[in-house]
Amino acid sequence: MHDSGFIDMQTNNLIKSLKKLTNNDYELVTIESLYDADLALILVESGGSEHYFLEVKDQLKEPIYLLTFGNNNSLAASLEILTYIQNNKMQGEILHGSDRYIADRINEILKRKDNG
Amino acid sequence: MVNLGVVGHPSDWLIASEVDYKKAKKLFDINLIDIDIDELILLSNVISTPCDPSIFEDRFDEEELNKAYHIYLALKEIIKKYNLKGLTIRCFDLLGTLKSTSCLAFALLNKEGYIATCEGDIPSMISMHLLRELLNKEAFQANPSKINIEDNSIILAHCTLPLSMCTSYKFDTHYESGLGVGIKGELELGDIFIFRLNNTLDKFVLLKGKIIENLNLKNLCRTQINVALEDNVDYFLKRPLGNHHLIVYAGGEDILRKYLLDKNLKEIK
Repeated sequence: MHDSGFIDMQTNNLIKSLKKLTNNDYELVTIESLYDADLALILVESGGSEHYFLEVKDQLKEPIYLLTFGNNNSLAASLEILTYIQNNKMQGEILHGSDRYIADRINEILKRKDNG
Repeated sequence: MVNLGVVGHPSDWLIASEVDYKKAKKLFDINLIDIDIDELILLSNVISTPCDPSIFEDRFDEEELNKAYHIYLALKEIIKKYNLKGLTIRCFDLLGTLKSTSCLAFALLNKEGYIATCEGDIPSMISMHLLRELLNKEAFQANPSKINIEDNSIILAHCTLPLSMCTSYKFDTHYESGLGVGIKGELELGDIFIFRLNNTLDKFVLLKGKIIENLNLKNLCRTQINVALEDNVDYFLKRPLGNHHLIVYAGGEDILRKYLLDKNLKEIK
């Protein structure tokens, strides 16, 4: 129901901006190689993604970070997913807002990981 | 005891919105009644009463208006049959079967004092019912759509709201489907609060804020407002109680809060 071309464009813009703001590389990967990276983010691109989350939830590790840009009801879907995560006594957070805010949160999370 | 209808099941994407019917009855004296959505579809298909477009502020395609109006009339029959104070509908199922939406029906029903919530969202329906019972207020059920951490504001949007909450409105299609009759309403700028219960009915959120503008953004549902929050917007990013939240014109927050705290619900900020 959502315009996939527009969604791809938004995803590319977000990734490009985060690369620039954090000096990290970002790669879209499948669930199998999600945890090969320093930080795993779940990209929620549109409303209706919630059942895809349920399909992969058992392969995810806490804390679960949901990255979203907001349009196409992607923030709405992220809220429902985070509620599910926390109802099931798991930790998670939505990374959403200005690119600057998301970049700062990613840097904070990475720093915390480095400090053990 | 109040009867509230669940027409069809909650939508598949509402993965954190399942409600214990027995708990709703015990805690809030609400009897949740499951109703087959085919009943609504069959009724809508046999109703032929034309819609009088002069009752609305805006004009729209006559055929689309009639289809949406027939859903409204069918819901009125269901309300009467089951003696309901309100209902929630798995409304996206109407897209394939009736090629229309329940947005217009909900805008009218909520204006008339019934409770009507989208997507089979039971916690939203119960939350809206409490607003009506305790404060005699209607609410705009909306999706949090964009957050600005820097200025502590949030955009909320959906394709229907009680017409009685609008200072003016226009008709448009439903955003996700491009079908039916959605409402693009303008709300009064000023003080509001945002409210909802969680699905296990043991927590609630009640945030104060101010509508600072009505918006017209692409790629969002039709009625869109920007709210400057007094409380911290990071509730939505770190500990939300679900997707849909209710926007209510200010007044009566303390009555609602006391009622819920007295029932041992925990307030989340």
